[in-house]
This record gives sequence, C-alpha cells and structure tokens, in this order.
Amino acid sequence: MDDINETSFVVDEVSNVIKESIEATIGSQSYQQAKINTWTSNIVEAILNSLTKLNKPFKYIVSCVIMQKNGAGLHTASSCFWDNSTDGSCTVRWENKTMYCIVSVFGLSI
Amino acid sequence: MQLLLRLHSVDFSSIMTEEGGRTDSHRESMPRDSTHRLSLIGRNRRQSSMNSIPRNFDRRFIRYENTFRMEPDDDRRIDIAKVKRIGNMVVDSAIKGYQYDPNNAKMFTSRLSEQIRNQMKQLPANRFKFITHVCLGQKKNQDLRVASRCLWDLKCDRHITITKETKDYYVTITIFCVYSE
Repeated sequence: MDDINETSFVVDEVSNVIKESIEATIGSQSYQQAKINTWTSNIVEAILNSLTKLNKPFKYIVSCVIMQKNGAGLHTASSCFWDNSTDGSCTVRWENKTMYCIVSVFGLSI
Repeated sequence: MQLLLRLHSVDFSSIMTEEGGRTDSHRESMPRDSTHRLSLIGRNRRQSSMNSIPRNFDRRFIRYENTFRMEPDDDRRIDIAKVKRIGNMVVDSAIKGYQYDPNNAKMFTSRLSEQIRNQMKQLPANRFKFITHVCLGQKKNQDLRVASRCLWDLKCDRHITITKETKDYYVTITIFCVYSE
C-alpha cells in the first residue's frame, strides 16, 4: 500500500499544500494591482517547493489565476492526455472579499 | 509437467476474464492510452508458481519495461511552431462567432480544451503527454493574472501560451507538452 502512495498522485495531500501556500501569501490581503505580480509568483513557487519536498517521482505543472472581484465571469477548463493510473491533477478555488484565486496542479509521473 | 501446464492454462483464462491480463513473462510495449488500462493490468504479474497469484493487488501500480530511451527521437520531437499554429487555428475557429454567454460558457470552455487536446493527439509525438489549460473570462475592467511554473526536464518539455481578445471577453490557452520516458 505504501508503494502505491509513492508512485501515484495523491490529491488530498497536494490540495492541502496548495491551500496552505495560498493562505500564507494572500490570506489576509486585499487586491492590490502593484503586488499581484509578486503574489502569483510567490504562490506558484511556494507550491512547487513544497511539492518537491514530497520527493515523489513526478513532474509538476502549477498554474495560478488571480482575478479581481468585479462582477465579471471567469471560466477555466483543462484537458489532459496522460496515463490515468499514475497521473493526476488538483484544482483549488479560493476567494476573499476582493479577489478570486484558482490554482491547478498537474502531476505527471516520470 | 503436463498437469502443471494444464493448471497454468486454467489460471490464465480465469485471469483473462477477470482482468484481461497476460501471465507469460514475455512483455511487449503497449500503447499507453487510458482506454487500454484493462490490458495493462496484468503486466506487472510475473508468477513462477501456481499459488502466487495476488488476488488483491492494487491495479493502479503498473511497472513498465526499460526502454533505455532518455530523450525523444529526432523524428518524434515536438515542433513547437506547429503546436502554436494548430492552437491558433482551433481557437480562431472556435471564437469566430461566439458571444460571451454565462449560461453556456462552461460548456464552451471545456469543449475548446477538448478540441485542442484532440488535435494534439494527432501529432506524431509518440511519448508526449499533453495538458491544455483554457481560461475564459468576461471583460469588465477587472484585472487578471495567470501564472504558471513547472518542474520538468528543460530539454524535452515545452509549453506555449495563446491569448485572444474580443470586445466582451478574453481567452488564454496554455498547452504543456511533457515527455515521458
């Protein structure tokens, strides 16, 4: 059973990692146009670093979308051609009073 | 010896009906599409005795044979310009007459990502995995930022981004092509 956890994508674990990173970076902040650049880079880098620390044989793709709350609609979709048994993805949607944040992590087994 | 062989063949057929696997030790490489999962399941079972058939092993753990290939062949490399051309073509034809409609935008986005993925599958790149990420939004003077970072092999893996805009909406597509050994 341990073997399986080592070589397949575990969604819960990754989802926790993502939530922690988002909270740490923009948890208590309001939308600021000047800082948005830094925030997205920080979130994405923090997630990637934590994922590498898990030491799994995976290639990761982390994608983050931050949008100001203005009444506009936003739709994201992703379509993947991979090996269903070993690869996986995890998407987390987070919001506060002034912005939305959607983070997707794709893990592809080596 | 004969008896042994017979027992073995019985097992083989029962396994075939259960999971569609193969029990002989000679393994060929098989196409790795998700629809072939059933036939791949038996590949990690190499038994030397009759009693060692693991009935409750996890079917998700599949081990592949070594191909000793670390990089894509020359004729199987991804031509990034071609990917961009195909992506542009698909997106242009998809948004040609499209007006943003919150009710069916969801369907439109997922259909668009599927269309792009299907086009990617036609490429001659044999050992590549594709991820298509589509982001469609309404324009209402808001700000938006899409960022992505990847941990992969710089030599073999690529990505491209396509952004299209109209008066009411914008669409951002990122296609990741990842080589898998």
